[in-house]
Formats: sequence, structure tokens, C-alpha cells
Amino acid sequence: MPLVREIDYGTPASKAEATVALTIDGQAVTVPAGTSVMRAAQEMGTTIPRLCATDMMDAFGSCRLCLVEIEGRAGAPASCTTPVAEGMVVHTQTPKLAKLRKGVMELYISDHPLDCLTCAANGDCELQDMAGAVGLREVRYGYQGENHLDEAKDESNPYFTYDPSKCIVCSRCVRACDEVQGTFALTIAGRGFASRVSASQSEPFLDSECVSCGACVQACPTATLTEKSVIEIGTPEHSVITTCAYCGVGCAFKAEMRGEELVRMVPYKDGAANHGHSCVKGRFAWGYAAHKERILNPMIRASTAEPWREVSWEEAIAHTAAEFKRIQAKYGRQAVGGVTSSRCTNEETFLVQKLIRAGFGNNNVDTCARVCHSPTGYGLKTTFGTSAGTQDFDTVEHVDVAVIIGANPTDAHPVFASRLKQQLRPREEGGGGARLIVIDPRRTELVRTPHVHADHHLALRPGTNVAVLTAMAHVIVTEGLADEAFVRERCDWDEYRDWAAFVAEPRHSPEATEPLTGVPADELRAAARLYATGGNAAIYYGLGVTEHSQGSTAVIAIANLAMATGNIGKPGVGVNPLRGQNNVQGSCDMGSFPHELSGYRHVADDTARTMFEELWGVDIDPEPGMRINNMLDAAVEGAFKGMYIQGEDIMQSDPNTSHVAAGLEAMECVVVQDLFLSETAAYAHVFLPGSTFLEKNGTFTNAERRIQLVRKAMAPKNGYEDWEVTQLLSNALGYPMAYGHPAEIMDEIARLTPTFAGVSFDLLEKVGSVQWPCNQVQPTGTPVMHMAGFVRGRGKFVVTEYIPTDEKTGPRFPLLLTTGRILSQYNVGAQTRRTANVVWHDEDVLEIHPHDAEVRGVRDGDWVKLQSRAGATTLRAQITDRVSPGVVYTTFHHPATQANVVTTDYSDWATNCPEYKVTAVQVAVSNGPSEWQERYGDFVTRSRRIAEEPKVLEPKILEPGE
Amino acid sequence: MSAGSPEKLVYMANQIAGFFVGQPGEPPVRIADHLTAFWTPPMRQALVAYLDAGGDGLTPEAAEAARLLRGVSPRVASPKTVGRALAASGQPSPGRDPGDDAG
Repeated sequence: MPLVREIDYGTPASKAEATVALTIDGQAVTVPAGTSVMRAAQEMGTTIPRLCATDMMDAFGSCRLCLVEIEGRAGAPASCTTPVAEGMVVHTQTPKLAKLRKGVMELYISDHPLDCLTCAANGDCELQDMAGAVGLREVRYGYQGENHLDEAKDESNPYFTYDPSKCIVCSRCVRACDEVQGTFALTIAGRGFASRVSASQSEPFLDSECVSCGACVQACPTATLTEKSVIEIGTPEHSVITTCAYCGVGCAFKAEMRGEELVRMVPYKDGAANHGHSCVKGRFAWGYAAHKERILNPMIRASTAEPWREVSWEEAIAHTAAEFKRIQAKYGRQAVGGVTSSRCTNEETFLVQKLIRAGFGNNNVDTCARVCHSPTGYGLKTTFGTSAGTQDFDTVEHVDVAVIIGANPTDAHPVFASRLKQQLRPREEGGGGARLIVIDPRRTELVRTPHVHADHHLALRPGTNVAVLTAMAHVIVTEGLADEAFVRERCDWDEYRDWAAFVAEPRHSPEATEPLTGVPADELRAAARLYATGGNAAIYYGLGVTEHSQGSTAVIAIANLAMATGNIGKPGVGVNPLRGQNNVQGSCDMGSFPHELSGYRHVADDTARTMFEELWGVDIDPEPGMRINNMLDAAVEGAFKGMYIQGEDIMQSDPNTSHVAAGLEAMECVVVQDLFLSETAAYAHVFLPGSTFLEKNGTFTNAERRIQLVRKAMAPKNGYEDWEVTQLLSNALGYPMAYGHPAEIMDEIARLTPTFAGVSFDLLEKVGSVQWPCNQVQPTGTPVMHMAGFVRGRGKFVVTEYIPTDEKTGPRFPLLLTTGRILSQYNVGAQTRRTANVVWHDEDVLEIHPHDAEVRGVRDGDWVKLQSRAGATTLRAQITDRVSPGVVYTTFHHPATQANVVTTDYSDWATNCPEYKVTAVQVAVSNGPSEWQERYGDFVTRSRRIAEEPKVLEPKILEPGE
Repeated sequence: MSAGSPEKLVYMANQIAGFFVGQPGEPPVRIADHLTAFWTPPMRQALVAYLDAGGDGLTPEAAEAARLLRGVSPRVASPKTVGRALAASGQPSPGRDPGDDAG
């Protein structure tokens, strides 16, 4: 489509229901009360000149360009700060206004470089547009007066430049940072003529508190803040609306293109999840798509000791199919399996599980949700009847009390965190005034960040979630704070009474559990009272809840709390898992688990299975297949020999790395379909190059069940979209597939999956996005679930006995390691490590409390050895009191560290989701890499070799004498 | 097909039992239901074989669940069989409410 330029209404929409009628330029117009005159004019199609106003933030009234005349009022008020009034008569263009505006523009331009032709914003500059709009023809003051034209550029940020010589001090960047992003990194330093935009304490952007979300760059009306890619390439000429491939927020972006070259990614205002905001990853970290390490040709080899050999697609597919057939003939049908990718589209994921169930003829399919949110699926399905979060993100505007458990949204779900921070800021500062409870072993950013602080931070010991949540339930029940009317109406009353009796036992009181949880009883009581009585209370949680031996129990405990207090089934409340990867919700919905078909129907469910069998023309095994960990166990024992892994790096992301390595090493055909030679690919026999989200069509489903289109912006550099590769493989295996477009795959999903019955690409094109269930009853989707009643009928209360993990600290391993993410990096880092994001985080570090560091003689920046019962690695220490004494923390973004060498085999009782968040460790000063790191480093270097084939020369007809 | 080492299976079965012993109803039936819903037949077979070989280390409820699974070879236990046992005990299955497309 042509370059999408969204209409800027100048000021945000009013939410008032009452309307006001007025006349603008002789035209009658009716708008909601509280709308600005500027916006009212824009809604009827008249753009009032402006520079400091934009509809992403509140009116500011500083540029003096948007003046209007209002009959009966003196002077020329600013239209951005003047609300409409009944019967008002407005004139937007009069000789007086034209003169005033021209005068204002003259002043601006007298201190602005006149290098429009060579300026990066040429053609995309609001100052230039306004000079044209007001008819500026001369600057009477000349250009020789005092000015800012010689100020130096700040090019420290890898993605954008700050050129103060072009700044008109409209404060849009400062306000974007405050109001939209909520970081408050920018300010206007100085006064009057000396006023300049300043990052933190007049520091270079890179050294400041700036988080590079890009909101300021987007807001800047001139070339002051400009993407470096635009400076290098030029302005884009067409747009492709698509969905970000990073976290589970699911931001919609305009991929702004010049031909097949991506110029920049700009957040799309119509994106229902992000409303025009972005973070450093989605906005800027897309360079990996064209990174030199990307593999574009298929490769095969007989063993991992050999170098890779580049082959044609035909050879690679034929070889892979032959290998899988050989293995199944020799070792049995169950000896192969596969992993679907949460980074790929719904259609691609659906196709991989179809290939496995129909082509391989078994249910040995799993997905990365196994290691992140599988307990969410189990816990919420058990209690509510649905394996997904209950709300949309917009619901946060109605939240009075937010509870964040085991999640770090400012780092892992930054765009949602910005929305949340807006709601958490005090009302007198324009925020929503919501209260905040944080339950996390670390002092995460939300605990104290500008204009936001947690009312209660329960810094529990890792592994004690269930004890803390049950203690909160104890307070609610024993202090009579439960909403029994809600429970009687919506839930099973007998189960509630059993549960209430259980949680009321004195052993679950905050005082009794304090010694194990480390949470002061009075603080926990206060938090529980606030949750139960503070109005609309919403729980947002992450992997700090699920990745435990009691992950499923903790999810159930959260659901119990929400039901007991009536915080479910309306806006502003609910249980909201923050899903990690872009399409982890979708990959679960699509039947990626070994026990269930799409729409979470068990393979033993005859009705559901028969539907698939009839459409697919095969028998489907009615028994559950193997989970990833089962496949690896079986491989180590010699019974599992082949695996098709699409877009997952289990070697780096799964726990107990040496066990994963042993499993992969034991297989005869490991097929990795990915962008890069990942850690898993080091153990692969076939490498099928994958395509990026910019190179394919399909859909992603975000954490709020929102299905959004991914649109192809360029041809796949590897030759095929990922679903096409799966289709080729299926055909070679003898199970025919003949899809022409992912839309046809979605049609099949809709036929087979009642919750997706109404979903089609046509519908998504028309309405932008829908949240499942989307069917005849809910034709445009379901933003909030369980409104009229629980999906399963009556809400189910389940008793949650706290069972301590078997991963114990002791004299040899006295510290508890917990792991997580950082803003600039994403998961195993395969994408973000191949972008300039490494300037913020080029290695994983170990956070350790000053006390624990001191007794070990560890200084800040020292190399330390991190040792657990499973293994050891080395990394640098960072001394901080963000972690409590006894707790250490690291991230898992870099393969050189491989934090998962240290994590153990312990896992959630119900789903086998690994216990990443609790590992008993010891930390000691070190002077070099661990034995594992050295051995593994050598192995990977050898394993990544690609044979230099002699170039095949074009056949050439030799001329006589040549 | 392999089933993982007996130690691992015993550990997992006990872990599952640990959750269900606190629940109302008949814990062994609910444990057996969970195993039927989420474990592969060879894993269940291996657990039954382990029980038959003495069952050292299995908690009483986990052992009882394995005994329930043993009753219905050769498929070890068909989901229907456990489903019937479950219905008789008046407990819903957390793993697989048949016909349900709750999402």
C-alpha cells in the first residue's frame, strides 16, 4: 500500500459521552465534550497549523501557531488548549490569524538551518509543512542573529541522532518520554533562548536514562531526532502494516519501505495492542534480518563432526524425508517428533503439528510454551475453563489495583509497561491513580520508577509463590474480605467452602509462612487487603509464577484469589499472563502440545479427533505424545532418533544444557529450520534456512488472544516462507499438502477450531484484529472473557498446598539463582545479539547483593564462577541491592554464558515446565571460563564450519582458439 | 519407545500425587487421570512395570494410581476407562474435559 500517514488529530480523543455542537468555518460539527477545538476541526477535515500538538499526548499550548478566532471571545486562543463549547463559532483562517502565524513562523525559521534539500526530514518535516501552510515567504529578521545553528550532534545512540541545531523546543520529545513511555529521561534544560532538550543531566543519549523506545523520534516534528536509517537511506515510499515479532504484546507497526529495503519500523496508531507506541526491540532491532550470519542456503551433513555442505532445496528436502522414513522404518513410528515455533505464525505452527500428527503419524509435538507458560494453560483451564488470559490490554485503564507477580514488564513487555505506568501515575499528574503491589524476589523497575512506586513490594524467597498466594487468600477469607455473592453466583459453592476452610487454617497465615517466604506478615496482610478491597484489581504475571516446580499450582492460586474477590469477568480486573514470545499464545492455540489438538481439545476427545481425521484423511493417535523433555530423555536412552525443530533454540533455552546436548547428540537426524546457526544447529544434521517476519504472510496471536496479520514486506531471502518449507517436507514424506497461501491454512484452522470459527484473513483485513473466541456468538471477538459466566460453567476453586521445591540450598550451594530478561535483548538473543542492541547488554552478568559479594571477596565487574549441582559457568558480577541477600540473578541472552548450564531438571508437577527460577548455586571469584564453556566453545566453532565447495562454473561454449 | 529412567518417572508420579493428595475426591483416580491425559502409553507402562517390580519409592497414592492403570492393558489404560472411573468418583478431569473447546 502507499505510504501510510495517519491523521494526527492534534490532541487525544475525549472519552466523554456527552456531545457538544459548534460551528467551525461555517460548518456545523458535533464532538464529545472536552474535545479541543483543534481536534474538532480535524475531525471535520480541517487541519489547523500546529507544531507542538500531536494526538499522542496532552495539549501543551507552546508553539502559538494553532491560534483561532472565536466569536465573542477576545484575542486568538490556542485551539489545542481550548475545549469546545456549545454554540461556539470558530474561524480557523482570518487575515489576523494568517499574520500572527506568519510572524511566529518567521521567528522559528530565523533560528533554523536552511538546509532542507540535504536534510534527512526533507518531505517529512512538519516545520517545512507549516512554513508552507502559513505562506512564509521571507524572514524579516535575517539569519545572522544569535542562534543555535552550530550546536554539535549527539550520535551516541546507535539508532537515532539528536541534532540540536534543528530543535524548535516544542517539547514533544520530552512529553512523549513522560506521557507515552513513562521514563522521564528528557527535559528542557535552561530558560528562554537557552532552552535545550537534555537527556538526563545533559548527558549523551546513550549514557542517559533513555530506553530508546523511539517515542521521541516519532514525536519530533523536525529532523532534530531522526532515525539513522532514514539519514542513510532516505525517506520511505510505501508502507506495509504488520505485527512485531518480538514479545507477546503484539505491537502493530508500519514497515516503511523503499522498494524491498526496510527504511524504518514505525508503531501504528491503529494497532489495538500498542496504540502507536513501541520499544527498542520492535522499533529498531530489525537489522538481524539482513545480518551477514544469516544462512540462506539449505545444508546437510552426515554427522556433526563434519562441516556443513550447502545443497539445493530439492536435495535437502529429499534427504530429510528419506532420513525420517528410514528412522521410522528402523526404530518405529514413535522415534521421531518435532517442535513448533512460538516465533512463527499461527499458520506455520498449525502446519508443523499437522505434519507431525498426519505425516509422522504420532503426537510427538511440543513447543517452547513447555518451558514458559504451560502451567498457565493447565491452571487457567482447570479453574476457569480457558487456557488464556482474561482481558485485553486496554482494560488497564479501568484498573484500581495492579498486582504484578513474577513479571518485569518494563524489560520484557515494555509497551504494556508504559500503559500500566500511565495508569499507576497519580491522578494529579494526569495518571490513573492506580495502586500497585509487586510480588518479586528482585526490586524490579516498577517498584520505584519516576512518578510510580509500589504500595507493597513482597520480596519473597524464590520458590515460595504458592505459600505467599495462599497466605493472601488466608487474609481475604479470615478477615471476611471475600466477595461471597460473586462466588455463590459464579462458582461452585461447595468447592469454595472446601478451599476457604483450607486457606483459613492457621498454618497458612502470613505470620506462619513468614519464616519460609521471607515476606513480613504485616506487609502481606496489607497487600491482601488492598487487593480485596481496593476496587478493580487485576493480576499480571509472568514466568516468575510459572517456571517453578509448583508453577501450575501458583497459577491456580492466582485464579482462586481473583474468583474469591470477584475480580473476574468485567473490565479492569482479571488474570493476565504476560506471554513471552510474539506467538506463544498462538502456538498453544494451534495444537502444539502433544496431548491436544487446536483449541485445546485432548487427542482422546473422540468428537474433536474425528473432525481432524475426516478432514485430514488419516487416523490420529488418541494417546498423548512426548513432551520436549520426554523426547530428549528417550533420545538419551536410544529410542528417539529424529527431530524437526522449527525456529526454536532448545540448546540455549531449555534447562540443564548438558542433558539437552546429550539428547541431541544421540539422535540420527536433527533438522533445524532457523535464521542462524543457533546453538541447537550445532547438533543438527540438516539446516533449512528460515524466513523472517518481514518476509511472510500469516498471523500472530498476542497475550490478549488478539489475532493480527503479519504481512510480507519483502521476498524471503532464503527462497521460501517457513510454511512452504513444512509443506515441501510433508509432500516429500508422502503426506500431500497443497496450500497456496496462509489464508487457506487459517480457513482450515477455522473449520477445525470452534474458538476460531469466525476468523479469516478477510475479516482481519477488514477489522484489523480480533480476540478469540471469535465465532457466531462473538463475531468480532471477545476482549474480556467470562463476562456472563465462566467458560467451564462454574468457576472451580482448587486447594493449593505449598510443597517446597526439592532444589535446596545447603552448605555447598547456599545461594538461590533466579533468571530473567533485560529490555534490550530478547530470549536467547539470536535476533537482538545481531543488532546494535548489544551496546546496552553485550554479555550476561550476575547480579549479587553487596553482602554476598563481600563475604566471597567479589568486586563489581569481577569474573565469577556460578556453580550448581547441574553445571558451572563464568560471567561478570554486578553488585546491586536490587536482589536480596541470598539471591543472585542473571539473564540467558548470550550463548557464551549459557545460564542454563547451571539450571536443573526440576520441573512443574503438571506440565514439566522447568524450574528456571530456583537453582541452588555457589559463587566464587574465577579467573577463566568453566570447563563446559571451553569444551562447548571448541565444539561449536568446529560444528559451524561450512565446506568451501569449488564454485560450479556456468557451462560455457569454448570458441576455437580460446 | 522409551519412557525415561524409572527414577525420573517415579519422581514425576510422586510430584503429581503430591498435588492431588490434598484435593477432594479420590486422589489415586485423579492421579491416574492426569497420567492418562499427559503421559505417553510407554511411560505409563513403565510405571506399572516399576510398580510390579516392587514400586520402591512410590508414594502410596502414586502406587495406587499405577495399580489403577494396570487394570486396563494392553493400552495400559484407555482414556475412556479412566474417564468412567473418574465420572464414578464425581470428579471432573482437569486434563481433558471431553468435547470441550474452551481454549
